[in-house]
Amino acid sequence: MTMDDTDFSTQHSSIYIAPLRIEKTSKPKRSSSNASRKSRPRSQPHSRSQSVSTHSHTSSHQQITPPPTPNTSQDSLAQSPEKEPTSSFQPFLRAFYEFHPNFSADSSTVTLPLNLGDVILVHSVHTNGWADGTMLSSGARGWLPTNYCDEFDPEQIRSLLKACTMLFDQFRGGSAGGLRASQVAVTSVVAGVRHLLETTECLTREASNVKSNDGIRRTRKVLLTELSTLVKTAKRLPGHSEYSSARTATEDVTDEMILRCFKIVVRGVRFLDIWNQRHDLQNDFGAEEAGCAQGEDADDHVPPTPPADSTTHSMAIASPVRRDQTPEGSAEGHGHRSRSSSIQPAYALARLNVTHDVLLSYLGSYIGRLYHEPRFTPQLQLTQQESVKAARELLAIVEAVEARDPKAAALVFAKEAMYARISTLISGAKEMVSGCERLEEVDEEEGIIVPDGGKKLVDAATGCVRGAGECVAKSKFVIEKIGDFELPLGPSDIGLGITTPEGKPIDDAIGLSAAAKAELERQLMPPPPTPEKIPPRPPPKEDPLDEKPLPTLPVSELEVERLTVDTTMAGLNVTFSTAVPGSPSAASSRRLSSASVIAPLPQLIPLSTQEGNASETAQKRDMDSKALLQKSIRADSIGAASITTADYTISSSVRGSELSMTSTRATTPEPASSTSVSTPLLNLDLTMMESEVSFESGSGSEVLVPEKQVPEDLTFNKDGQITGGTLPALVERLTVHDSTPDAVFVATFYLTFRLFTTPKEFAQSLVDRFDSVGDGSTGAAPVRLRVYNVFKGWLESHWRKNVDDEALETITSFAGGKLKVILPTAGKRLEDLAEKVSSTDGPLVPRLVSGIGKASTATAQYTLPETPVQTPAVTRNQLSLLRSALTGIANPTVLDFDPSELARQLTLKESKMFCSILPQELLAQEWTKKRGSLATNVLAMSSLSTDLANLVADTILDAADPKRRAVLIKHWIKVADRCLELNNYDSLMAIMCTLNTSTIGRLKRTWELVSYKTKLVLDHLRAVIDVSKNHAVLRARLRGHVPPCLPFLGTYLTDLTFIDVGNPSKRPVSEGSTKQLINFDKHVKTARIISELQRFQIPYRIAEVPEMQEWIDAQIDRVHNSKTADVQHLYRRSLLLEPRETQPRPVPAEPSTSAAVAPKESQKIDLFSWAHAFKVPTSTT
Amino acid sequence: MQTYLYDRRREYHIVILGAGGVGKSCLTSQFVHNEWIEYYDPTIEDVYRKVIDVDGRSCILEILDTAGTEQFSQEIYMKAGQGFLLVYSITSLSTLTELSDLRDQILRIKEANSVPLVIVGNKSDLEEDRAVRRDRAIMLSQKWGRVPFYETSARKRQNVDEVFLDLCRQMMRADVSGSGSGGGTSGGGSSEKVVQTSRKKRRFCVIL
Repeated sequence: MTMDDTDFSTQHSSIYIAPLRIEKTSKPKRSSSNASRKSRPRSQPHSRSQSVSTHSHTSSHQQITPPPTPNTSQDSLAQSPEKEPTSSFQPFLRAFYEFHPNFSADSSTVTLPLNLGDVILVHSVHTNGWADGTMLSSGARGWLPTNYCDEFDPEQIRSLLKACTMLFDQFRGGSAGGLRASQVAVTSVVAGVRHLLETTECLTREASNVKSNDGIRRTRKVLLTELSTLVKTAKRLPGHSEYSSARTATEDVTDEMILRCFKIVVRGVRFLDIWNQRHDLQNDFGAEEAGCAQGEDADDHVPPTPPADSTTHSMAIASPVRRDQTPEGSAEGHGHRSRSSSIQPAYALARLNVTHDVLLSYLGSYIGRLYHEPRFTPQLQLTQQESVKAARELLAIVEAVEARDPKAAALVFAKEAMYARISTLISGAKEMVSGCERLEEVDEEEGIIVPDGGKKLVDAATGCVRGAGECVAKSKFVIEKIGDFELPLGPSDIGLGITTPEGKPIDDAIGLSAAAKAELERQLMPPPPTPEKIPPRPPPKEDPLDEKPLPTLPVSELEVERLTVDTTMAGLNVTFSTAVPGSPSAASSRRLSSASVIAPLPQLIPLSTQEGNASETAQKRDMDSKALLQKSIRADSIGAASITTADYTISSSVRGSELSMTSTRATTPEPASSTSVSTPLLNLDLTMMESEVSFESGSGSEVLVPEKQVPEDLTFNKDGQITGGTLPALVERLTVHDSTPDAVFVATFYLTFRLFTTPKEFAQSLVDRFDSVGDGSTGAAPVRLRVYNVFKGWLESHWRKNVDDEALETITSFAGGKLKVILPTAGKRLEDLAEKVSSTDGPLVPRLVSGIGKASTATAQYTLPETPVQTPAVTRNQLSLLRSALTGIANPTVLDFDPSELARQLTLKESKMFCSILPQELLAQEWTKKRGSLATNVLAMSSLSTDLANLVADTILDAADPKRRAVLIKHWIKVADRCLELNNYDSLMAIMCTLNTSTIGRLKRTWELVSYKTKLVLDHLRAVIDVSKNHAVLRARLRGHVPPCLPFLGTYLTDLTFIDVGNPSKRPVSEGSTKQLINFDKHVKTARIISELQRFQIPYRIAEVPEMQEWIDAQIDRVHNSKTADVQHLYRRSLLLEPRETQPRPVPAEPSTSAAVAPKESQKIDLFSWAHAFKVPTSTT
Repeated sequence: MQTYLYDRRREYHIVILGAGGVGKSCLTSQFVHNEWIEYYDPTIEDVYRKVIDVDGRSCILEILDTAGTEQFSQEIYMKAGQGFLLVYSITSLSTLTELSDLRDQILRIKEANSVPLVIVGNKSDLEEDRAVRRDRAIMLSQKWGRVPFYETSARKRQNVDEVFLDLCRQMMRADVSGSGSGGGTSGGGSSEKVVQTSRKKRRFCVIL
């Protein structure tokens, strides 16, 4: 055992007591010590009845009877009925109690002694609680009692563990994949170590963590030494030169490699322990507490059954980065178990995170390599293969999630887009390789020089990262909604020691098409459990601060730049277009991976076949889509927005692109939230890409400029985002033949095209585009299909009656004519849609105000539908008072009601309006139109806030007695404070603005009676609404919020106004050029603001008190219609209540100097100091 | 400018007020951005801040513009401001008359008799639609104590900088004459300034 045991025992000093406690309470004390949490024993063993409990162990452990050694041999184990789902357990355990069997077991069973802190790779677990495992430190294999161990899977080391399993399987699990596979395994071990160092911020020797702590430095060094040994060993593999296949000598080397790898893990664990020790000392309390809470939760559900049954587990050993704790942890906390045989089921969310991590690490190293050296080397190929594998795994999980919530169209989109992106990556590589086909003498190790400096591949890989991010975000959102569920590892996962028939990696099925493969994966996916089995939703976290998403990562310009597109690539792409991009994607990936660099010719798919397929699939999918749509209408807004044409595809290769382009999302992902759901920072490249994704989600990675396009017709910014173009060029972008049209671009286009063109012109441009691709040209089919899809998306979810009707004729004739000839089904469908659109009001598919931002708010805090709504704080008396008020008998005032309840009801009222704001209301300053404005909801909300502001003043000025006015002020401050608690900034603003007006502010006698404490609250609130630095405070707060939240509408309106006013609608092609393009950038910016607003369009979960709602309405109405409640009148009323003092004040004509006022003010301490609290940073002198 | 230490720079908040549709936001965005810049992004913190040089002294201006928002939030802007641009459109008389209420409100909230202020008649490029004769505005200016008055065209960027410069000078003067309290005569002072007329630009300075 290489581990320093003494160290361990100190760290886990509480371990020796813990079991005793458990025995009695089954709920260990949740001391603040990390160790005690970690050591939470699973439960007591169930196997006491079995007589073989002859093991002796340290006396302090007597209460825990270790399970007896199973008498069964491994053979019989294999027959055990529960064996099949071995797939879903965590392969690594860590010993938390010592276990030293003092009897020598019979020859058929070997028992492993356990030392504290030992890490074990588990191959299988028997129902009785014994596990077949390999001790990493020694490489010994044998049986061990799982109840002495805890699952080991800290986030930081997860990918290393995974890599270790992979390597082990590679050589032991029988899936000998030759040299390449083993190289992959080694690479992933390297990646795993890198991940570990990265997440612990010890990547470089210079890192402060490393420098400051000797232990960390040392263990890190040892770890790296071990790693280099492994790499060296790997080089000795006989097959290292591809063509020799002397399998015989391999054995020794592989054995050594496995041992080396185990050592690395052991070192890694050691390193992590040291790191944790140090980190725990300084670690923030928050994580600790959160962890405890979570653990506690879990404890309630610890089943009193033996270890094998325990489904709860502590998430990670003192993982200091508890990024994902809530959803994952608390879901698990509910200890919902379904399979008794596995140690613990993998939960969808957890698996999603893990797989995402793995994928990102591969893609990261892929991109890093390419960037470093633009050659297509075998290593690169391996990384690519691994990436594809991981991506497939991810997609399998996504599909499992999707299976549970078929309504999650946004997820479907993301998934399909991901498919397409992976295909792009594969086909990109393939084409590149095939381009060099003739250079047969290409040096294997040198690889092929990537033509464009690897940009294309980097872009494709970046696209994958982005796609994966979206998939994960969407999946998390769905999981949030439906609850986390167990998701046994799918067959495509890396199997564990014992291979079940299905356990064979799918990858080995050579030559499957992507579609077939996906299908296979789908079939092999365990059926989703019945609805009842879905675990209950975790309760929402109490303290919102705990759950704050991570801060947005800054994008370094440099990084973005290098990850983005060079538009000059246009020329290159022509060559690629000979192959239908990514058509047999999986097959090609196969080839890429198994064959050498000399890849087969790209396959040319006969277009006719494809079209045939298309119409077939189209029909089928259309039916599906109808069903989906019907459901979606009922479904509440979430994620349903992009449902529309989600399911029309031609073949899996173009599927993704079709889908994502039809997204109806109005907008770009919202920065903060997307980043917040992002996975840990794998490496520099990745974090950069992630943040890039969240910021722009620009079209960067996928820019493949169609051959036809005149370069000057489009302009891009440095992020590769389209900033300008002519209408035909933009339409071309909308229907690119060889890549996925960028979702943001498409959404922006749909939302804003009426601002730069007419519907009729747009329709005609689409038709022109359709015509422009001749039958013979490559990519004609996808382009045509996309044209159809754009029409379809428009009609289904972006149609604006009256405005767009002028285009109907063009569309109908196109659908019935040209389209029908080439794509009959599509033509028919479009005709139907056109007909429907003209006969119905409103969009066919209700465009629910939902943005991608909304979906990515899946960060734990979304108020879950299942959570009980807080009971309104209304007494029976208050209710009857309200009722009699409605009949005119009583006349209650705001003082009669609880400030919290008033705030809640106000919030509810405003939130309803806010949530119904449609994106088009926010375009072109629609809300400022004096007549016939379509921005009804914006105006209604504005008007409500204004009336609320006036109501506040009115109620205060209604009281003749200063004392009562002071009470009213206090009451409103309380209401405002509660609004802030509810994240209702709009009402907060309304109330605060009134309290800060001169009308109220001048009531000196009143303010004298307001307590100091209340004024403090007021000051706090005032700081929130501070207007300086462009509402910096407010903006910063909003960035960190997750819905429900009601932002101050005014800031959005101001921003939109300035975008509209400050950006011209045309822009020159280049500086000084006379050619003008549509300034698309302006529209992208508009869409971005709208998406930010939409991010918050999630209703509050507040119980309505209809009586109070009505009463508030009545009050609002009264003020609204009152002649004495406008600003001027209110001021006059204020003057009447407290006339100007001795020296008559303000009115301009009357002379009075503020100098005269000043001393007075200073005498009355604090009275008016608040009035100047908007500290204007005038640096005097 | 760089030679100034940051803390030696004066920082002023200018509030732009006026009825809807008079081109306030256009004035602001023209001022803070010299050209139509494609990266104009109103959500960033510094977007409404600009460093300008006034008579050899550098100061920072932050423009507070309530464009597009509800009226009720106006007073908190007023409270935060030291200088005010009261903007009307020369194509609409009512927008001029509305200015009086705004000024009253400002004086109330600032508890002063006079504040640094400029009257701005925007849209001077729409001469053919003119509905407000210049003397109407001049009358108002005199009534308010010779408050400077300019006609501007935000669209053509005429007189935009001048307006802000004038206001900035007033604010600096008010600063010197004692924490903004003695600004009573600021308007008069500035009105004596003679604005050069150059090229086609129309500049109006109220004489007397």
